[in-house]
Amino acid sequence: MWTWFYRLASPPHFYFLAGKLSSWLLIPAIILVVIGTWGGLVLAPPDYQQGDAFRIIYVHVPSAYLSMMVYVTMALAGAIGLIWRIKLAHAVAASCAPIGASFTFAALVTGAVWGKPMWGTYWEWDPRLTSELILLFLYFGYMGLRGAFEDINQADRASAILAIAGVVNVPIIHFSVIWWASLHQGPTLSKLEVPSISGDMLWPLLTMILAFTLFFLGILAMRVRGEVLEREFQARWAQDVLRGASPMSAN
Amino acid sequence: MPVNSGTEATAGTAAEAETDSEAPALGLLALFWVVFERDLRVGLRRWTDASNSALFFVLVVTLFPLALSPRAEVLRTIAPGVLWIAALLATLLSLHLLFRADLEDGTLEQLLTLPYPLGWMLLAKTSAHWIITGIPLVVMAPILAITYHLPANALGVLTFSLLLGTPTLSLLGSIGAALTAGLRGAGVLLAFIVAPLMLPVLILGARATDLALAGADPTGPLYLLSALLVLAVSLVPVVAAGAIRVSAD
Amino acid sequence: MDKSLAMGGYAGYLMAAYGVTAVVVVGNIIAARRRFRRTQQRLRDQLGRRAGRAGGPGRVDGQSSDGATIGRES
Repeated sequence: MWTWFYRLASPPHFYFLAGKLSSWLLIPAIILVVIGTWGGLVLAPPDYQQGDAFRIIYVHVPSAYLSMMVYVTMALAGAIGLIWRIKLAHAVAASCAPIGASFTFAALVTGAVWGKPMWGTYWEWDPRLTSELILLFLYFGYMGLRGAFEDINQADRASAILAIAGVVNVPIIHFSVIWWASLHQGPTLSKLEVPSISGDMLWPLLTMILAFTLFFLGILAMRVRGEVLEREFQARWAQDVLRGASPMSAN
Repeated sequence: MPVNSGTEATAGTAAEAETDSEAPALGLLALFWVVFERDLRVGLRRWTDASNSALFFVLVVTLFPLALSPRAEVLRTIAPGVLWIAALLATLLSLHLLFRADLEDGTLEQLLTLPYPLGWMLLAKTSAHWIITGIPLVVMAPILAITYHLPANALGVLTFSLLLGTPTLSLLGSIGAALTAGLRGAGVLLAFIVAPLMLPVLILGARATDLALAGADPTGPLYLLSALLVLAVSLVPVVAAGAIRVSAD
Repeated sequence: MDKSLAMGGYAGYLMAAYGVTAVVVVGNIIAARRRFRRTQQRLRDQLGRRAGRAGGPGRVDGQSSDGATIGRES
């Protein structure tokens, strides 16, 4: 069973696998997005309290979930790379960052757009939106630190440490922000609270979450392939692939 | 250079103690003291560097009334936040001092080769750093807060919260300083990396003072601040040690 | 049909939100592909330059992958 794992961690095998995997992931992802969007925009009934505006949930929540899941993945991959010295893990971590940051941005914008009809302004220092903003800073810090190192090994290890420190901190930050907000907010509901959700409102949400997850994995596969090719440039297999002399070069 | 004699003294003492016998001869407490005392001495010699951040603290605090309003009611309301923000910024500014001298004269590499726990030595360094850069903030804050018309009870809580919080800020900052130690022009990056980590301390400290200002009980946030300090003292040195090893490569 | 399209007056917000998300999704695909292609191109160029620098005619054959021995006329 472990040979499967070691094979996966071997760069040429991963390169090959990821090439196949990425279209197998992206196509279902896009299909699910279409289905989920249709379900959310058309099929789901309007909410009793928020009317049709609640439909933003179908893009906001999956984006926010992805932004956090990707960060945790990034930190986990960094930790694996640090502890077991698996270079592929570092490649995965590096590839996660831009994807996660873009969805954090999406979560922030969709959250703000949701806010306007709900509470009248585009921004309230709502604990969830504020936490997303801080998460965006964490991503930028990570990418900034990576870019500052010339040596890729140093970049890998330093950013892994940063990601781990960040991941430990995220719950602490989240709770302190919630606590801080609760002191200032009146008795009104948490603004972006999920409305009491019935079955026919729920399934499009779950579909979108699944879709976004598959999408992330597909894009990740694409990016990690590029990382691996670059990092393994000195290796024979990589040069063969680049020259078109390898069975994998077709991708 | 005067700094080198300190370097050689420490590394010399530690190395000598090691070669005299098979096992490292410095006990943990003695080790702490050696590193702490030397960093303190070096830092005090270069006190002008440390004073930059203290001056920055005063500067920031001065800017707010000028930009907002000098009216007592306004200042009193914003005082907890402003003083805490200024303390955080001043700490950020002082962090590069933590490893700069050692990186320059090669002490850092020597520290890495010593058979002593790196995290423990870093804790000693950060403590010395806090004495030099953090304590001035704790001392000046109540004085500046008076100019913000902060009443006496809130002054006490402000000072105490800073006393509990600034060491945590220094510790968290040491992670960022360790990660960016070798990098050129890493100032803003350092601030950016470290600031999110410092947010809980900022929130708790400012809120504790706010509560005191409103006549409410501030002990909740103060307890949490102490908890964070304990957490930082136990966890940060390990992380910072890992970070320094990466940077010193 | 008209009424449901109006989405209770929230159509603008919905379009903005879904639009931004769509941009991010499509943007990710485009960015990932471009990055891969650029990396591939850059590495290929590097490989080519290496072969050229080693004195050969620049034509790389599949047999030798380290620069030192490329130089054999194929």
